[in-house]
Order: sequence, then C-alpha cells, then structure tokens
Amino acid sequence: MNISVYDKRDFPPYLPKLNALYGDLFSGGKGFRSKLIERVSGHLKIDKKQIHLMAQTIEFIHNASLLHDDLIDRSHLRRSKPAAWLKYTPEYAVLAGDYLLARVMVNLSRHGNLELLQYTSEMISDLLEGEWIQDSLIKDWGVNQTQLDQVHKLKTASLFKWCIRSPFICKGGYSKQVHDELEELGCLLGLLFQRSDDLLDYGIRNYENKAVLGDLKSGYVNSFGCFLIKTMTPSQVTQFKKIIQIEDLHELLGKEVFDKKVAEFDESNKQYIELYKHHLQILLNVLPEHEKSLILDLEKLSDVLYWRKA
Amino acid sequence: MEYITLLKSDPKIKTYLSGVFSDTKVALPVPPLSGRVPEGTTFKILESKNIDKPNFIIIISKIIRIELLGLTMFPFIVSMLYFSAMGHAAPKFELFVSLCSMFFLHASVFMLNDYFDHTRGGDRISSTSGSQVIQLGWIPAYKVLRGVYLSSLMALFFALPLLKSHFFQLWPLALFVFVAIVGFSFFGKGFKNKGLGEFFVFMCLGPLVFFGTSTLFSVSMDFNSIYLSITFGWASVFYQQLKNFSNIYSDTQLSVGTLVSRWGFDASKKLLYVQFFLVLFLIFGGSFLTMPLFFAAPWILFLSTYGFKIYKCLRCVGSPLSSQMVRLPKLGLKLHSLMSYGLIAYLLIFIFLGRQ
Repeated sequence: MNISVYDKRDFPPYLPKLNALYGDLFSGGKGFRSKLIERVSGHLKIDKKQIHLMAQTIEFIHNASLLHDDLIDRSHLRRSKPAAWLKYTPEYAVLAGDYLLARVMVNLSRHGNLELLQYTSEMISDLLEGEWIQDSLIKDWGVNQTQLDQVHKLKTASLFKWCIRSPFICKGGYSKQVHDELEELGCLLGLLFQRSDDLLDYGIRNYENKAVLGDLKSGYVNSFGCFLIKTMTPSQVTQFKKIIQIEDLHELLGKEVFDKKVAEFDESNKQYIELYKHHLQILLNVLPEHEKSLILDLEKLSDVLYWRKA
Repeated sequence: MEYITLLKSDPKIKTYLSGVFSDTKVALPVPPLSGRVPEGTTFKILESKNIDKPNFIIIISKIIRIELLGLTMFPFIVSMLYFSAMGHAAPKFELFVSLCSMFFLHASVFMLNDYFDHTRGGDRISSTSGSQVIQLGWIPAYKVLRGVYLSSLMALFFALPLLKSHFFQLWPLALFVFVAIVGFSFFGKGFKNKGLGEFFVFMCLGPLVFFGTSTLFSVSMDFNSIYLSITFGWASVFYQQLKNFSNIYSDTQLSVGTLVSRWGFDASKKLLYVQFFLVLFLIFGGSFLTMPLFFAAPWILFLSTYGFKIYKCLRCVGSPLSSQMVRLPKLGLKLHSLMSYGLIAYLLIFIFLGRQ
C-alpha cells in the first residue's frame, strides 16, 4: 500500500497559499513514520482506513513540527527547498502548522477512539515541550548527555513511540505489559535515530549529502557535539563554537582523533541497540502467536535508523 | 551484554533489587526511557569483577554523602564553640557522643534514602538522586540496608547517655528528628510532597541543633545563638531549595510536590533570588554580631565575592535542563561551608586568645 497522506480536498480552497504550501511540504520527505505505521499495522491486520488515518496523523504532526522548527531555527532550507516561512511568510508557516494539528484533532475525534485521541494529544504536548526546552538550551555549551536525552525523549522519541503503539491502541485489547514494551521500543528507536541524526550533522554517514553543522551554527550542542566537548580544553571549546566548516573541526581535533571519537560514540550507543533487541524478545513472548511476525520487521529497524543501512 | 526484565509480581525481582540473586554477578537496574512506570524492571547483568569500583573509603564517603556532612555537623561545631567562647564549661564526653551520634544518624538517613530510592524505582527516573553507588554496582542494596541498621544502632548507642542525662529536655528534640526522618523516608514522597520539607530542614539543621547543644552546656540560648541557629537553618533551606530547583524537571515528572516544583520555574527562580539575599543578610548580620569589625569586614567582603558567583549562576539558568543547574546546589553548599569555616576560625581564635 502506498500511503498518500495529503489530499488538497481535505483543506479549504479559499485560504490563499495554504494548499500551495502543503503541496511543497508533502511532496518531499521519505514518509518513514507513515511507512512504519503501515508495517506494524499490517501484522495486526488493521483495516486500510485506520492505517490511512494513523499515517496521516503522524505525518501531519511531524510536518507541523517541521514548519514551526524551521521558523524557530531560522533554517533557510528544508528537504533542499526553501523553507515555508521564507518562501511564503512566517505567519503562514505558523498557521499552516497549527492547522495541521487542528486537522489531526478533527480526524481523530471523528474516528472516535478516545484512547488514541488522548495518546495523540499527550504526544503533541511532549513534542511541544521538547521543542520549548530545546530552544532554552541554545548557546548552553555545558549541557550534558542526560539533559539532552530528556529533550530527545520528548521531541523525537515521542513520535516513534506513537508509530509503534498507535496501531495497538487502534486495535485494542492488549495488556499493559505489551504497551510498556512498545513504549520502551519506541523510545529506543527515537534515541537511536536522534543520535544518528546528530552524527549526520557532523558529516558522519551523510549518504544523502545533507547540509552539515546546522545545529552547531545555531548554537545548539547536539549529542555528538556534547560527546566531543566533554574532552576538549577550554580553548578548543572556544574555537569549536566558531566552526563553520567540517574541515575546521578535523583541523581542530585532528582527523584521527575525530574518527576515534566517532568510533567511541558508536560504541557507547551499541548498548541501546542491545537493549532494543532485549525488549523485542520480551515483546515476542507476550504477543499472540499470529502477530509474532511483527518482531522480524522491528528487528531490522535499529540498524536502519542508527547505521542508516537500507 | 545480558539483560533481564522481571515483572513486579515476579518473586525473583526482590532478589535482583536487593542484590542477593548471585555471588558473582551484579544486576544494575536500567532506567525506563519512556517515563512510564512499567510493569517490569529491566536489569543489566554484569560480572562483579568487571565493575570498575574505587577503593572502599571512597565508596563509603560517597554513600554517606560526606559532601553533605557539613550541613549536619557545622551547626553543632559552631554552637559548641560559641557556648565555649561565652565562657561556659564544655561537657567534653557529652559533646563527643553527640558528635558521634549525629555522624551516624547522618550516615543512616542518607543510606536509607538511597535504599528506598533504589527499591521504589525513584533512582531510575531521576539519575541525580542519591549517591548512585547502588546504581553503579559498587555496593548491593542489601549491604546498604545492613549499613542503615548498623548506623542507626550506633546513632542510638551514642545518644543513650545524652537521653539518660537530659531526658526531659531532649526527648521532644529526638521525637521531632524521628518524625522528620520517618516523614521524609517512609511515607512515599512524604513531607517533601506536602511542601513541609523546608520546615523540617530548617529546624533540624538550625535551631534544634543549637537548642540541643545549649542543653548539653546547661545554659539557655541567648540572642546571638538564636540568630546563628536561624542563619544555619536558613542557609540549609537555601541549599535544599537550590537542589530542588536543579531537579525541577524530574520532580515534576515524578509528581513530587516540593515548593519549588509547585511554584514552577519562573516563580521559583524569583524565590531563590529572595532567599539568596536573605541568607547573605543573615550571614552578614551574624558576622557583625559575633566578630569584631576588623575580622567581620574582610570576611563579609570575601563572602560577597563568592555570593556574586551564585547570583551570576542563577541569572544564567534559562532552562530546567540548563548545564548551570548542576552547579547551583554545589555553590549553595559551599556558601554554607564558607560561612561555617569563618565562624569556626573566629571562635577558635577567640577561645585561644581567651585562654591566653
């Protein structure tokens, strides 16, 4: 099933620029989250209408956060195209994001699954909280990994948790233990994805040649930046803050030292991959027999998200 | 790496939490990432020999929270020196057993706190709570509990002569301290959750200590000793509120209703500014009351310079997860220590010169 989450007929045609903005927004992106929903839902034998609803929900929320994020960070590009706030106006970018969230609430309340509606509202709340706290950490060069993980749990992990858990909420009838395991799995995937994304910002496993050092230039120390800063001298930190090209970073630390740091960071994240596999095993033991095939699909995800393997 | 997840209903979970499940392995609880309180607890299983442990003295220092010993002992030491400096005869034996009793009480309270944090799962939600020695695999929980029993017995043993000689004056104090410990440790989030934490900290680390010491000296508290007791109590409360402020995010997640978490980030920050100036005012007042000007003036100048660090750090805190949050309680503790060192140094000089 090829899920197309955006249909201009779902939005009022009389609002100027709205559908043009959404057309730009939804024409890019890999739709990873909606594909994850699709894969998980397939194993639970959920009907297409509900799968479409969930896929649309997560993509609307994700893209709403991107619209707002780009304005907050003053990012000029999104998916190699001018960011919405720049191409249209900041006001339209904010309102377009709000409208997507409102649309999510309309769709879910019409669907009628109160638990799903409640869980989605909590997820959006976590996402906004994470964004708020992340913004408050700009130019805080002393922030530590534990503090950053709190932000990532709210911002990134909440979406992944939702992708993994919402099909089970939709279908209903699962125990608390199943939902606990799904939450942990979603969190671990989110954390791994974020760590990988943070490495990508330093040019590591940047297979799609995305722009690098975006976090550093906007004054935000991501998880890998925090890892590097931990062993830097104060003068190195001062120079680190001013870096605008990745080659400057290699020169500052030495290429060998930099590569060693990457290897150490990867090693430290392996514990999360192992923990993820452990929780998958627990989930395997508590799922009904006809749904255990889900585990095979979920098993590959940690490698896909962290090592960026196809 | 070996992991095991055990449900709350599984009888094995207690053996893993207490650390008795194996002689050669250690089970370190893995904090849940989701923030939910799960049905099960996941443990990372490691060989004991592979755990990087420091030497025994460092472990004991950490678990009894030696860095916080000053909060408990300095009011006692200053009160003892003050009453001695005022010319009252020092009851050496009683002072010695008091010191020992307070030391062991301090140790048992913090070990108990660590034990309950671990067994109730609080340490897995907030990684800054307690000494973390159980979470690091340095000591199993059952040994910490043994330490609690031993320390409590020692505290009681050393307190018995005092209760015997000053029973009618000291039993209300002992009862108050007992209620404070039980209220903080045993009833879930207890007094902290009801916003009473500050009151008990103020009393137990300030006026009650000075009152106890004055009882041992068989004298009444005068204005200066009351003033000093209030200063110590308030400086301890300031430290506690800085600590609560640094934990505001995790405390709110855990629904711990401290004054700081209930007031929220912005209002609490304002409260801390007020508390900061109040504590400095009390310290300066106490210095002028007890010390001559030539000693007090440079001392106050030095403390003001240090106090400016706290003010600056507080101003820099713009987020509940700011990196400055870790510094704040340490600065508050150091202010308490510096205040104590100054008073102790002056009182010792006063006593020494008095004997000359």
